[in-house]
Amino acid sequence: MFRYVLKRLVLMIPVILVTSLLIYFAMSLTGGDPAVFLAPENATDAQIQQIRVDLGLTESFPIRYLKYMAGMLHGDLGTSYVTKRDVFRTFIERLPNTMQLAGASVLIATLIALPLGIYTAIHENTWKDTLGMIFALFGVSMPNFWLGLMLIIVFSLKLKWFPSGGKSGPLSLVLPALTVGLGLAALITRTTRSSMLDVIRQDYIRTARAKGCSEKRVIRRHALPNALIPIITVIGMQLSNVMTGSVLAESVFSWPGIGRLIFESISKRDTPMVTGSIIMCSMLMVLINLLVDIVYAFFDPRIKAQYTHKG
Amino acid sequence: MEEKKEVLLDVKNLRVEYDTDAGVVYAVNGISFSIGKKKTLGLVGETGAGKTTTALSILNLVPDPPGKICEGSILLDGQDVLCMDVPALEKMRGDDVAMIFQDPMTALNPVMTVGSQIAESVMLHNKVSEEEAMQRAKEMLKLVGISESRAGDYPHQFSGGMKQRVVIAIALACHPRLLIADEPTTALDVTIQAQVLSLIKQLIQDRDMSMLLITHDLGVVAETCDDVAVMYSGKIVEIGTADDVFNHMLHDYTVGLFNSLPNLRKRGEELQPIKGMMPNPMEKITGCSFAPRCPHATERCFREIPELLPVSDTHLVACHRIQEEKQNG
Amino acid sequence: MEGSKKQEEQPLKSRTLLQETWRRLLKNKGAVVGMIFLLCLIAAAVLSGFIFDYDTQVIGQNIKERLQWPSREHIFGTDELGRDIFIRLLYGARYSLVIGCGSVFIGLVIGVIFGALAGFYGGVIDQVVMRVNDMLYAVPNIMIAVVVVSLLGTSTFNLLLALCVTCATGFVRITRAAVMTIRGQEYVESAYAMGLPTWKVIAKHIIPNCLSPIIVQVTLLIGTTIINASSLSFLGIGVPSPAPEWGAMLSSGRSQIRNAPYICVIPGLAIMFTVLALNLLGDGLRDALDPKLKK
Repeated sequence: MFRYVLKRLVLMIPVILVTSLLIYFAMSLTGGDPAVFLAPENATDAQIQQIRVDLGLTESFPIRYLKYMAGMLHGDLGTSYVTKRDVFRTFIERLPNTMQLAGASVLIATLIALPLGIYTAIHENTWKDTLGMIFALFGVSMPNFWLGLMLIIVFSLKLKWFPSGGKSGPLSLVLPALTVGLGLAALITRTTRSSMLDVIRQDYIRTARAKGCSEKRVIRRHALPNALIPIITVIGMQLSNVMTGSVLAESVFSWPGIGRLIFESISKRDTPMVTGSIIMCSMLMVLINLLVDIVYAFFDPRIKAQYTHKG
Repeated sequence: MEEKKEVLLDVKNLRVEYDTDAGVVYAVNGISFSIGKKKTLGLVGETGAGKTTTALSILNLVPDPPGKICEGSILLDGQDVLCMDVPALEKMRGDDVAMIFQDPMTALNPVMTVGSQIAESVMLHNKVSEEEAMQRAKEMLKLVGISESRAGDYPHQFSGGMKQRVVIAIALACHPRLLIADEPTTALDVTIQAQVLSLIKQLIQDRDMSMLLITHDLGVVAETCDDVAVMYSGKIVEIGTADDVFNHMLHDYTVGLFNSLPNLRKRGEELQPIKGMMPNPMEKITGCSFAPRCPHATERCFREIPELLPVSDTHLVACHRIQEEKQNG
Repeated sequence: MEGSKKQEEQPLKSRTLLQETWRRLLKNKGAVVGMIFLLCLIAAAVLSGFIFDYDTQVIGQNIKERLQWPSREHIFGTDELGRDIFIRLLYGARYSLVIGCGSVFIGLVIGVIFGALAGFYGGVIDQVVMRVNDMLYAVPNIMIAVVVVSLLGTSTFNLLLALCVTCATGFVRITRAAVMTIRGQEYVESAYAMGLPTWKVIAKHIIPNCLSPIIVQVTLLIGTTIINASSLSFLGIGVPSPAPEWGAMLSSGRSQIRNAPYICVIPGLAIMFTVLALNLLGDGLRDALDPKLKK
């Protein structure tokens, strides 16, 4: 297992290199001339040229990229054009907010989706099932940001239960987390239901019943652990969507996370901030995907065995 | 067949239907049989004759929906399984009646170790600690010929024959009085079949159990069973002791079944398959369900359902022709 | 049980697979509702161009009539610039449909080609394609879109390009998996043995066999892409204003959310029902194409 993790970590390196190269390349084409941005308004051409040299912009692209990556190793992703603050620092400051939002959303989604998915599967083809599935279908079809706006209209403007934006205590987390969580919940509910239905028809469930297991025990001890395997895959596959959802929710609720950071930076043409944030985000996603794979192996002895044998 | 006192399982007029999208499937159409204590009954018939449904009915495990037990009673030691409440059913399953399934590849939970799957059965029916249950599980593994050290392994680490041994260990963990074996060897290699079968036979004898052996392999029945019931299209057409059915068979379907088997003594002769197909179980049948394929069918056979009536003390047949012959002397 | 299966299969042979699928699809109420809705939407998208004048009725401002709640005159009300929301909504259908279908189609072509190559040849090609695919899959699609759009600028076509990258990744996975399972099967071996060139084997035997999952995926993905497109427009990096893209309409209504919430509510409902229709159709297609799933 340890060797597997190590191997995966090593395999991550080229992925990170290529991703960052592509992003760095694309962003350096678009960003305009940073020197012009940084220079004071009435700067002379000579002054601007001096800034270029200071920034290392006169060097060739590969050298700049390598320098950039070397900087990343010790947490230096350049300086923001706008705030003049360290990009890496700003990113790390904002990261916990996004993590909170994403974590709360996944938590909400799982808390709703697992019981609902199991419930609808057990009551397959009854009105309870139909009702649950209609809820899930609407949830899947709803644009995330729109749901956020609807929540604001109802719970913030009309009922005044929660603040409509900003980060101020735990209450302000509720609506953004619901926004991301409900859409995700709908998706996981559908997966849970179909996975449970699939498992419940398996022969080993019949074996468990024939042993004298109660229906509760059949579901908890036999069906659920098997059904969880595809569910974890889906949750894992959705993490990048959680990220996307968080970006949107942050924009709707003025939540000071990474998503807002990136979009504010785009509108202010703050290229180093955008580049650094996107590269960091991508790395984070690759890392999270690795974690999901490890969790996955933990739940399925067949995969665990495969890894321990082959290393 | 047996003296009433010795009967362990008594199935009377069992009828099971499946309500599917395409229509109602009449899987079991009023069958009756009984199994004596320490006796083995072989239930023989083609695929789709309703054998597995019959077996699941005894555990009251017919999947509902779409399945439904519409009629009949299944008395286990005088208690009707079909009238039991849920706790009583759960108590009965595994403890009084245990079942071995057809396909060992899929019958074991892939994410539980085999040891804990056996131990679970022990813990469900006995007040023992986890350690004791695991100890019992290991003993059971040894009993079925698997090393104790493999209790912590997962099903995917075992071969088909080994898995079936584990399934047997689960079934026998609580000393059930009745074992239902649903084609326990069909999915296995021929060489393994004999091993598993003799293991089951030996365990049954050692533990004074009764068994309902479901199979379409007449050889297996001859080797193992005291009594034999032949099932066709959801009905029992002939039932009796192994001697009755094997050596004095009467029903044309039973005859056909034997003729379609290869026989070493008649090498070179052509096999005689039964012509035609089993009737669609979605149609309600008036008359004898075998009549369309029966060489001796008369107009009465298509009109009137033959009842299962005795021709001797132990031997019952559902056939108008046989019964008429008997009446006429 | 076996009997019922037999009976269902017998009439199947007399019809073609397509007819049989169509028959099963029509039995599914949700799928039929979805199809009817989508047909209406397509009609609206096509006809609105003839009925309404883009410059005056769709983007033309009319400050006098701004922020009117839904009434008989403006059934969905007017927005902050006095434009009729109903007209804009109908006209906006084309953006969603074109972007949704367009980027899924481009993604499909790219994805199937690379997926088939990876699955068929394996080895290094497979490794490279799948690593790149994993990479693109791991990066949130919004980030990809940000990079593409900031590279090429905001326009409808660039948005379409940005989204097709995300679509392609799914198709690469599906095609590769399907090709890998089919590749080893005997009828493909026999096609080889008959001397068919590789590309013909792929085109004639392998692609038709992964069609079912792809058709289902296309339907569902168009829905997802419509949501993604409107999300990007909402964030201001999609279809540029004043075009009546639904996400952009929603975004512009945000500032009026207190006194005219309908500006936000209505375009969102349009997106939701469109995607709902696609999901209903997709679920219906999945059941119709794979009768094994339904017992």
